[in-house]
Amino acid sequence: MNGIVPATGWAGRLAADRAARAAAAVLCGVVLLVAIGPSLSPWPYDAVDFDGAWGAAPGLAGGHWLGTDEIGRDLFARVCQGGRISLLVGVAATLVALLVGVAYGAAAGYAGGRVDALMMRAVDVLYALPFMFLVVLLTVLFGRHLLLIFAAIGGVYWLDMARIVRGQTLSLRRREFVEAARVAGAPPWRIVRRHIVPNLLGVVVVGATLTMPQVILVESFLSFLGLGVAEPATSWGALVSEGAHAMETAPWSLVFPAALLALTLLCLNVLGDALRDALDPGHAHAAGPVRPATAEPAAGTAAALEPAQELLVVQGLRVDYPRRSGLLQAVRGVDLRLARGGTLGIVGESGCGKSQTALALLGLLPAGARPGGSVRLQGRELLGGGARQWRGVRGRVVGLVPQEPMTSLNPCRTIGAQLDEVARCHGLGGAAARAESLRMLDAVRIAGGAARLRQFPHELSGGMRQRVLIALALLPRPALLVADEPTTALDVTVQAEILALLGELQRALGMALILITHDLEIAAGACDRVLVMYAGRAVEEGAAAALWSAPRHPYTAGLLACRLRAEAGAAPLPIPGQPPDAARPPGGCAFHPRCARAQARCRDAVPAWRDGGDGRGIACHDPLDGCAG
Amino acid sequence: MRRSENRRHRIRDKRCRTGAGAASFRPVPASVLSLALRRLLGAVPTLLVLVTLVFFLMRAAPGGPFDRERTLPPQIEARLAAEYRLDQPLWRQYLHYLGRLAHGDLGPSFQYEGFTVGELIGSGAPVSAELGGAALLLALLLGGGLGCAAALARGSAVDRALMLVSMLGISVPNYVTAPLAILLFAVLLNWLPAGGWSAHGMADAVLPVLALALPQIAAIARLTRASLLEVLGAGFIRAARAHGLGEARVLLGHAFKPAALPVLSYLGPAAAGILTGSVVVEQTFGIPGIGRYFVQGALNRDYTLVLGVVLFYGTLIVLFNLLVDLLYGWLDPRALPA
Amino acid sequence: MVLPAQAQSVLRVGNGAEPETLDPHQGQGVSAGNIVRDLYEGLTSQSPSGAVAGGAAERWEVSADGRVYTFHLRPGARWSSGEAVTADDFVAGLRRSADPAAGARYPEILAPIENAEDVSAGRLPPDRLGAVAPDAHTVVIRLAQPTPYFLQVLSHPASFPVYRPNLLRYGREFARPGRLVGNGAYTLVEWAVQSRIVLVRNRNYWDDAHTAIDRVEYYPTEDLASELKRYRAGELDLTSAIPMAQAAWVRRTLGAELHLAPYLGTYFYGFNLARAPFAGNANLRRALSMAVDRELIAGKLLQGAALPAYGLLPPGMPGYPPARPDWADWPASRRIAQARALYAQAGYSDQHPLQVELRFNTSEDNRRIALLVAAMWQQRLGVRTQLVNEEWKVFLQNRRLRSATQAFRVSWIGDYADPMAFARILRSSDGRNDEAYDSPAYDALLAAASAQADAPRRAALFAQAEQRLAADTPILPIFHYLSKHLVKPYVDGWSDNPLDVHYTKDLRLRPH
Repeated sequence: MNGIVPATGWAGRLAADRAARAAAAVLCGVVLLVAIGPSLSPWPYDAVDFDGAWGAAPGLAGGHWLGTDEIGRDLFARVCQGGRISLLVGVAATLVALLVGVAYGAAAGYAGGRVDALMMRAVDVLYALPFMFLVVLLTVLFGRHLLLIFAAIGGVYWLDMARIVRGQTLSLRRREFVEAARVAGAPPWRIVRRHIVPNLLGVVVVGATLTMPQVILVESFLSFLGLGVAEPATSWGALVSEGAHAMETAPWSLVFPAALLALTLLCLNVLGDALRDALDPGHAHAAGPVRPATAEPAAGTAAALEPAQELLVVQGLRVDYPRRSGLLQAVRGVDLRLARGGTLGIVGESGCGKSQTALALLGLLPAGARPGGSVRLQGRELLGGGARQWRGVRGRVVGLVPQEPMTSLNPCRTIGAQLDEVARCHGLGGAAARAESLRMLDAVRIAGGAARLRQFPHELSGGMRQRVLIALALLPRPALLVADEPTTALDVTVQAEILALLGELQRALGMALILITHDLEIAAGACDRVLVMYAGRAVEEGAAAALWSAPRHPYTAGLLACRLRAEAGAAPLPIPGQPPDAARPPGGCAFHPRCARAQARCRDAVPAWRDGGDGRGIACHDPLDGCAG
Repeated sequence: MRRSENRRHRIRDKRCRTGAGAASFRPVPASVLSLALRRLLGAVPTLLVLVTLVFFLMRAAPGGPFDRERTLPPQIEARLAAEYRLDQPLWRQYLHYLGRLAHGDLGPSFQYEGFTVGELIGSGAPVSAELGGAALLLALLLGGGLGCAAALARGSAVDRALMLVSMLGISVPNYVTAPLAILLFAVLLNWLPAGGWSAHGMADAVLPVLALALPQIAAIARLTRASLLEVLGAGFIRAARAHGLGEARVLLGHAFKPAALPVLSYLGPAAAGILTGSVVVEQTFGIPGIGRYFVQGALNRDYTLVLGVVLFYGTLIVLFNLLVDLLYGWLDPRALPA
Repeated sequence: MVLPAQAQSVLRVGNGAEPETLDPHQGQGVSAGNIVRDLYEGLTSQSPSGAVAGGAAERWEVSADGRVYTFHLRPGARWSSGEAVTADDFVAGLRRSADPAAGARYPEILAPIENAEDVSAGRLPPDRLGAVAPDAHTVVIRLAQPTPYFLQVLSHPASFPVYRPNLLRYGREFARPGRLVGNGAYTLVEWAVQSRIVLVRNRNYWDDAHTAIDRVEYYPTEDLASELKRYRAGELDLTSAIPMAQAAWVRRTLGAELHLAPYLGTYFYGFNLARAPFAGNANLRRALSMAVDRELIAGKLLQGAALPAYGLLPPGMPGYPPARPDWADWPASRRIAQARALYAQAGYSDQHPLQVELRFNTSEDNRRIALLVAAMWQQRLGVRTQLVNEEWKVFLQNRRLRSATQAFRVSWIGDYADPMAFARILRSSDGRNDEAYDSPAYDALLAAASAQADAPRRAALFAQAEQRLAADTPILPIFHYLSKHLVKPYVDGWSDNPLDVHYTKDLRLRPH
């Protein structure tokens, strides 16, 4: 998933959302109307027209465009004036609620334990106070002032915000990056500011989205009870409440303010949703409806006759994401071959398309992806197949060990339940399923047997969880296991154990393995063959040992140098420059901006894939050993 | 090594939260029960603070229970004040009230002479509970259902239509929808009664429950949609698919439960919203619930009635939050019922 | 005797606010009174048109000096429990109603009875009240002064009898279903607070043979708009009132079902004479009064659901037409010119405008009226008015303190059709005199009227008192109330009357 999102800012993403643009435009229009409307109207909002028609219908005559209210005041001027107050109350009270709520919730959630319990108890006490009563009482005691209404409403809604933020903080606090910062000795306030608050942004925006319209509604509710702003000032709430009394006699007096109120709230909601998506690209969704990923026909590569032991043949695999800003090409034509029982490592930096390639093999590309090319597994074409076909493949033929052991197990179910479910799904009955689960647990070297099965994922360490995930993937005995960065999230000793386990099981079960990693050494150590990817393309392929001892592509060499320096105890020196932007990869050889050997033709022409004849292949205009120069 | 550390940490954590050493590793019914009991005991100071706050706020408000347009002769006013102990110092009245409360006596109502607050709440609470409970249930079922439908049809016309309607639902106050509904269904179409409770059986409940549930249906639909979408993007859903589980199994077995968690947390605010909304709805439809007592009591300075209603609300919310926490703990083993 | 099975005749009444109690001596509200009059019967009663009629007393004599009333109870009068109603029950009811120890809320209405004021003040024991029962069927009441409206007082709930066994047994909690024993045409069977109160006919009532409606259901509604909707949906046969803002529309759509009739009530603004700017500035008060166009308020704003008011006393007082100052009939321009002149004399001008607070309690009608009056003052005199909208109890307290108010809203409903019911509230000693109006001349005129038995002379004294008020202008009358019931066409026997008193026993329902 990582790397497929264009690195434009949230503002850009927001601007790309048509609904958000429309909502923002309407909101601006409303604000403008409210701001300059009163000066457009020939009538002041509080002037009574003694001789004119009262409760008059809208019309151009007399200058009362929206009609008049029950005592002949101009409805247009009043709707504008009311909007000023409503928006003011909305913004100010929401700000109060946000500031207080976020501070309080973050503090409680971060502090945790006794402090948290105490702070939340205080919130419970306040929650138990029916807020309406609070506001009624306050207005009774201190009269009705706009400021008081802000404070009363904001003072109530911060509770919701505090709860939401506290819950989120509590869960963030347990996340790895926060734990890491804490271990590194960062002071609490900095952790809260640097790591917690930015991650709360989404929640807070959603909260504000829900709060602001509510706040405006509460103001109108107060007006309904006769406790809103004092006459002759008015608000949309007060106008709607007046209009509701006259809904049969003078419907327009309800319709205009109510429509404007509803429209504003609607736009606020739409904008808030869009803002959330923009701030949290993980949730950003494709523009169109979700369609099952369908494949384009393979681009011209004639399928050669496959020898019987060929398990997987991938030809010209592409993964595109159509975006409004253009086509995002995550994978740009990759060929792969894997024999039964063979092992292949796919290596590359984040965003090079290796995970996309892996997911394409299981039909698990995210919504909006458009795969193309050909994926033949056991001689069967997979791309273009429907959900039913993929179900037959997943688990049974291709298993996946996912990237993130922390999030890839369902937190709400026990290990046993999850294992049993997979076993049952692949045709085992109740008792047999449980026996198989236990056997698999044993196979992945998790001691403790049946007691283990009753545990929840959060009760296991990261290494343990990854073993469980391996057990889950191997339970249906797939012919091919795709391990997508299975050790990235683990610490070094555990990494080695997991890799050893994977290799052992691969040999024992005689299955093929695709190991995806950013670490050339891991790939070379665990696999027979290695494929190096860059910017969605394969750049070099060959036997692991050959590649390791004599890389030909400058990028492979860079990866290797980086690795060797680390071993020598020096700080690992990354390849200079930034990985390319998937939405706008450089022309020619995509690596040329970072390549010390780049020449003019590297900028102009995409280097063709050339078979070296010695079981190695490369795509480079100027390989290191010069043999293809 | 790491595991046992984890385990110790968790136990310590749990002790902090519950204030005592709960040694069992996973919540078993007995510990949940004792936890609930402890929480209920812990609610006593909460409610005491609440009563104290409201008692003194109420007394700080100008005007008294016997002020009417017609003035009472001073000697009668004095006699009434003595009868209701209003002539004593405030702190003695407060202690007296607490003393009576300890015996479960909420005192006589100031406004409804000849009724005790206990009787009034006893008659109003079941009605409010029926109304509010039905509205909450409806909001959950309908809101949850619509939210799921929208999430599964994400990006489609159905999704957009549902979200637009739900946003409108949030945007229109129920003092507009309630009379509008009466006008349409009772006055013009004559399908349903315009008000009252119990006189017409189930038909009485349709409009008020709908009017009360509408904003919550909308809010819950939005929340469910967002939450389900988030869960559907989670790693474990992809993993579940990768293991060959069918789409129905993935949804039912893996997506719905975690997606329900944020909805569950929203139940508290939803219940509070329904309590507030019930004031308008009870007034508009002439339903004899305690929401009306509350506003009328506050306006009429019926001190005991307001205290009684607030206490009732407070207890209800405490119980409700406890229930939500227990449910949360049951749905999400990571969150202990704290 | 077996009656043929017959559909029950049920009347459903929208009754305004929830009654605070059904104890006749402790209730104060209109909604409680409506129900209590069905449950109990006083010595006298009212005919549907509002005239005094016999109640529990079949006949009575009044002494020549107008100070001794002798009532003879109907021999067949019974409590709903079946026991006979005795003269002692009435005497006990009057004593309880005057007794401060019983916490009675309405002693002022009994003030004409001998010693009543001393009993209410606790200076005399209740048994010194001037009401006695020489035998079981005779009640004799002595008055302090001749009181022409006294027979009306005896149809007021405050004078109703009490069923002593249950009072003894349940104390003040006797007014509940199953405990309340009355002598009226109906008895209480259900009281679900905020939901409904149900009465069924009392078979022991002396005139049960003429009662037509078997069951009455009173529905409380604070919200007149909701009441109107329930009426239109066919769930109510009668409403307590209609929202004034919808009067024209209701008249148009429901036509003859709307009954508008003069009602003994006046809506006015009081001026606080104890504080600036109104203390000692009659010209200012008159200027403000003359600047207000009552016809516009009653006609255009309240859509004919009220009558313009120029004096405190409403129409409908027997032998006493409402006052109307000469300027009421002036053309608007002349009236405004005069108002401006008075305003100038009072020391105000455009450069130095009057800044004033107008205080009212929260309600739609109060708000709209205050807005309009403020606009009239502003646009005609240049007065800057600050509207102060307060919640009812706060408002009452502030008004009573006389230290915060300047101009404030008052409405007053009379309990009996006599000028005294209104005139007395501006006496310097009256507890309701929030204006702090202190005019010895006015007090003396009222005292003289109280002592006067001769009707024309009494009316003349009240007329003089009203002139005094017009000159001093302690209040700014705005409108007189109308009763505003909606009555379904199938309800027979309904008749509008100034006290707005309607007994269910006088109504009957045609098949519908």
